[in-house]
Amino acid sequence: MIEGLAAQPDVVELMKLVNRDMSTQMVGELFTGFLDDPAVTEGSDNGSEPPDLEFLIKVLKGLNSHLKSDAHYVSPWPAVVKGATWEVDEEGYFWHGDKKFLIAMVVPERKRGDLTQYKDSLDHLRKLIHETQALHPQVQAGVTGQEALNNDEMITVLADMSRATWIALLGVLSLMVLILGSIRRPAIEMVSLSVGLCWTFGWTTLFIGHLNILSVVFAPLLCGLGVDYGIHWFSRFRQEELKGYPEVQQVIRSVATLAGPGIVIAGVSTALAFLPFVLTGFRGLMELGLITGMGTILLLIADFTVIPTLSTFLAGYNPRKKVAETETSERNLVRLTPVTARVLLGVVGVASLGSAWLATGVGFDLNPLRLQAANAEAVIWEKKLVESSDRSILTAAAFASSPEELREKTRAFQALPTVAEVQTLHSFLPERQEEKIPLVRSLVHKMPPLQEATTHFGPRHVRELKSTLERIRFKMNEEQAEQWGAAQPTMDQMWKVRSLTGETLAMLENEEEALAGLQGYQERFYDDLAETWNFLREGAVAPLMTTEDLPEEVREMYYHEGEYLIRIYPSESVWEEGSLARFINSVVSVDPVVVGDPVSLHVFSEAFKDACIRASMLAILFISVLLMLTFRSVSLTLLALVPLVLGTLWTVGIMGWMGMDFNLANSIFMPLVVGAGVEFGVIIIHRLRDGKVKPGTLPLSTGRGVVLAALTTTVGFGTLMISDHQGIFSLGFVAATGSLCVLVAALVIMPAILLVAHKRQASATSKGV
Amino acid sequence: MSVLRVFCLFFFALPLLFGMNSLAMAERGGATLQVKEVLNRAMEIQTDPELAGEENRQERARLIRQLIADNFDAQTMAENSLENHWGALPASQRNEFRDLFIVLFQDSYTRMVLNFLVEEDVRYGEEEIPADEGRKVQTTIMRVSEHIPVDYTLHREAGRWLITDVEIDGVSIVNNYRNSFNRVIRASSFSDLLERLRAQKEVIMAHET
Repeated sequence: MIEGLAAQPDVVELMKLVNRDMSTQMVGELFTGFLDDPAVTEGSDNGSEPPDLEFLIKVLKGLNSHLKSDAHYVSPWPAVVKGATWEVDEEGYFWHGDKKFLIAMVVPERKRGDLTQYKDSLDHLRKLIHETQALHPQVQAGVTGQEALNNDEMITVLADMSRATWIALLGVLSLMVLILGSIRRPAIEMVSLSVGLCWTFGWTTLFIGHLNILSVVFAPLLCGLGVDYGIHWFSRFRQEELKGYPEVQQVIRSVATLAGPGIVIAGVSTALAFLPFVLTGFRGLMELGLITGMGTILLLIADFTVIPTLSTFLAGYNPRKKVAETETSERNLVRLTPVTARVLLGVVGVASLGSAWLATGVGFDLNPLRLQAANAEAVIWEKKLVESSDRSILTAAAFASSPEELREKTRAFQALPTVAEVQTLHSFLPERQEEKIPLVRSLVHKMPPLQEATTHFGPRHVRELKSTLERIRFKMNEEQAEQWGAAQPTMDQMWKVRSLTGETLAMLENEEEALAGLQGYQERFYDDLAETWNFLREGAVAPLMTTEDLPEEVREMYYHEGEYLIRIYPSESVWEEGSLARFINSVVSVDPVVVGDPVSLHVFSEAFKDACIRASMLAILFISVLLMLTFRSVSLTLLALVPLVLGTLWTVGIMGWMGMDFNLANSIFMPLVVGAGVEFGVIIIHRLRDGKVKPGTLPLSTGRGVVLAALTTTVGFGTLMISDHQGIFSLGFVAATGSLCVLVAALVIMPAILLVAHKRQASATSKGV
Repeated sequence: MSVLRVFCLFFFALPLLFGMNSLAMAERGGATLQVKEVLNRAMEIQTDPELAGEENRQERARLIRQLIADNFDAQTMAENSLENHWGALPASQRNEFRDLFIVLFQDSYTRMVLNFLVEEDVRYGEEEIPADEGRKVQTTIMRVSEHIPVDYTLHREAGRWLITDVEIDGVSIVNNYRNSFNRVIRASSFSDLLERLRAQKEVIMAHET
């Protein structure tokens, strides 16, 4: 066929050759097919491989379009290769997802010392893509990959945190004005809070020098937590000012003496809730722990310096308020009877059991992709790639220092079921070149030089073409082929050929008109044939391809200073914890020193989860020790921990009810709840220890302070829920819910427990008497 | 030579010449007639309402196989398919090969007729007389917007025309056998070829039973 086409390279001759080939195959299959293939007998299935008619279909389609004066030429030559997947124009690219996506690998330039190190590079890349895309609106394009995901995540979070901080400040201020009934005192508190935050920023700059994706949330958190101390201060101030001290300094001194220790213990407890992160060894958490822990101490210092100082001049103290307000000074926020207390404790017991049951359904979801903002470009494209392919684009990397080691490791990685593909410098070279080169070279001898094409077709050519097409059409009887046992794809192709030849024959009826179309197709056909012919002939004499023939960028990436890079593609999505663990465990069994994004992800998520659990345990331990040292009483220590324990249990129960899991962002909620829970417990116990408070009651001044502190904390955490970043949103939700649960536990359960305990003690004493 | 003798010679020779010519004419038409007869009979079997349907396929196959056996010189085809190898074979191998070939060819041709031939419009062309005194009958099976040329080569034996080759759209069945057999013999041996033919015969027999 090749020789025939070389001698007479025109479409009429091509059709004759195709027909001849089909006839030869048909006769061969019918009479001697059993010599090549499984035995074929009358009535038995045809065991041979079916013919591929794709080439003929493409030629007929092109010819028909020219005969219809709709000159659309599609090269038929790629269909000559079995499977018709070889498209010269589409080779040499990184295809992904069944050739739906084309990947271009870009190495961004890093800008050190910046929170978003690759932002400039990525912005520039995106600008170039958008400019190019404007020229090709039918093509969709975007940027993704680990650096793009990190960058987009950081930008989303930074923008959200900036908004959240302002909203938190505004919300907290509004709450304080509303509940404290004053503008001056919330203003003083805001000044104190701002000073404390400034000190924290300064301290962070001096001792850490940067923020990370975890510590970036510290400002709204401190707004929520740090404002509490000022609130407790002013709540007590409001009560003390009713005592009619002649000077404001005496009121301040009284507040400092009576409420000060409780506030300090609460602040130190909160700091102790965060500082254990430092002991986890996990850098991101260590920095968060240091910044928030030290920030809490700095806010406490600000509250004990800025607030008293400014209160001296700006608190609006009026000694004459004494008479009018004294009557209300003994009012309680909570007043329980023994029966109510028992009922309440019963309800709480049931609620806690329910929460414990719901909490069993809460797990750890370590997939960081699910935390990202769903509308971030990098996330959208990453998800598209994950969904469209069973192969991840995130790769692990191993190294080899010699070609032998490279071969050995490559073979071992390829044998792993968790590995989809292994890419090395040699992956860019054709496989088994030594075997292929002689075969390719032999092509030259089988491909004689192409002769000049027939320049002008005449009526004779049209008649010859018609006759040949009729003969081809005769063989395309799909009904008879079905009887013969042909497979459906073959019958579909036969039907197409039959239909196309029918169209062509109808158009060839008018020889005059047909000639122009035939001539037009012939010209395109010949040019294409000549190009393909030369491509194959030139390729056939090409030398053995070596790594030296590869572009320098590719060479540098895969071989650098004596080290070969081995890039390992996972066969499953690395965003799922189970498949990620399987992948990492298997590649590490081949080479313990494997690096790359999947490895970092695996190590990070596991270490993070462990660090959060460890930090929470340490926080509870440290705070328990602090409370024991402060109260010198096991029962009071346990009582102070009640809001924390119940609040946490209820929060996790609510998470279970909502179908929410712990993730890489909300895992740090525990220290936040520990801080709030212990703070409320300590403040209430300090107040109850005055001796002037009846069991089962909670004075309004203390209760108001706790409620306001809890609400401001809820607002501080709740503002995180404005974030598009799903992780930050879930942290905000869990922390806000936690602080409300802790509030309810502190306000209601503590007085109830004290009342029941007091009654039992009284009963025991009377019995003893 | 006298005028009378010349006249007598001419008188007796003329009918002889005419007779010989008419005999040649009859022989030329005879091959075509023979092919026509075979094709008509084959189409008759294929279109007989009493033999229609899958349940009668075996019976149709039997009748067509018989038609082929009666009208094809499969022994000569067997010899031609081996070409140069035939002379070098011992008699036992020749005989076995011939028997195997006949079974296999008849089975293949039967399948082809069963699957492809229906009530056809067959056009008969000129009869060619090749150098070997045989005949080549050109036929074309015509359908709407399609056709296929099928040429039959025949030779005369024991007073009747027998088919020795068929060219389907320019591809000779005997040539196809020759090429395929050569390929096997070159790649392995004649014994291997025989072995494969035997295996295929087993399959055919098993299917028939």
